[in-house]
Amino acid sequence: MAELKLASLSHSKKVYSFIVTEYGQNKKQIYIGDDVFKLFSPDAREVVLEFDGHRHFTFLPDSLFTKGRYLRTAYLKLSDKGKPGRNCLQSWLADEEAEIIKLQVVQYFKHFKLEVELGRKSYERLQKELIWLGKYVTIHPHISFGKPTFLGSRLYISAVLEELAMGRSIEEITRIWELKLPREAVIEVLHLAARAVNEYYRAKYNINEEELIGRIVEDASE
Amino acid sequence: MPPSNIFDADVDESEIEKLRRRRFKLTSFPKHWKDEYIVKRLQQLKRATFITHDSDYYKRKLVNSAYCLIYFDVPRDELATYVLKVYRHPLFNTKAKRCGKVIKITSTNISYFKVGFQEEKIINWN
Repeated sequence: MAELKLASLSHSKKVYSFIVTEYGQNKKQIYIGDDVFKLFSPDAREVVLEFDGHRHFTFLPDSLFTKGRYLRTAYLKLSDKGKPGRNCLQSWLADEEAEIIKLQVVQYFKHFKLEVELGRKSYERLQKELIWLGKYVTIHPHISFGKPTFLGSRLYISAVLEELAMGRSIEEITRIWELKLPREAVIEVLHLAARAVNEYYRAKYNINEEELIGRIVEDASE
Repeated sequence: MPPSNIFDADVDESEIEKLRRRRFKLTSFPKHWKDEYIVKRLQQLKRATFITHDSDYYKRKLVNSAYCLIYFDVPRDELATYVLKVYRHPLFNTKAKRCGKVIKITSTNISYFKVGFQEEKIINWN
């Protein structure tokens, strides 16, 4: 089942995100679940599908929806060069590396924005590759060149530390990068940094903590 | 046509807003993309310029004639100023001139790697 989360609420705008767990034939369809499906109605005519940060669909044909709560892909009416567009969603899903589709449905004055997260296989693979440094900070060898980053973002924590050094508050930091993370995430970064500094300098000057403690205990007993 | 200026996840939102007010067409990649996929997408896009604060992108190996990488080693709240300066610089003021270069911008000079050249070139702002 598609996992639906309500990310933000306002009178005119709702953002949903869910994980795609099923694909239709030839990856031309994605299963969007009951909760998401009920957002659509025959009145919805204008749809914008965004991925890679670019708009791909601007018009919703009648044939876009099927009865099985599968969202079918549509073709662009015309590409930039005036030629018929390609099946964008199919090529996107075939790649399995792209991770977010944004789907915006304009229904009268209501705007629904859907964020479809990566498919289960890619998601599980990504989860396996992650190295957890804390609750919010992770390392992935292929994200931000292996630097510790916030979970689900490419924002490396050293950038946050630099901003704190510049005198910015935690609230400002979460605002400037639009981090959907709590204050505790930034505090966790500070704890990690404190630990990393201790370990880095001990390693740099060959100071063995256990050896040092042993010597202190010996000296004290004498 | 999609915007050809792409900013990294570490770029300050307020600086992006400043550039948008200057009619810059900017976009970003999804925040949890892998590095190799970013590079792959940049190669597919037409003469894209990737704007970042991440020093790891300033590498000779990343030079490609299909795109331009610009690493800004400047304070984060001065990014918009420096982007405008770079885009007005006679060496980088068109997409064609920027493409095939990996550029590092500091407050004092510009250094870059170029397709077909092994050594790093350093020029002053003046």
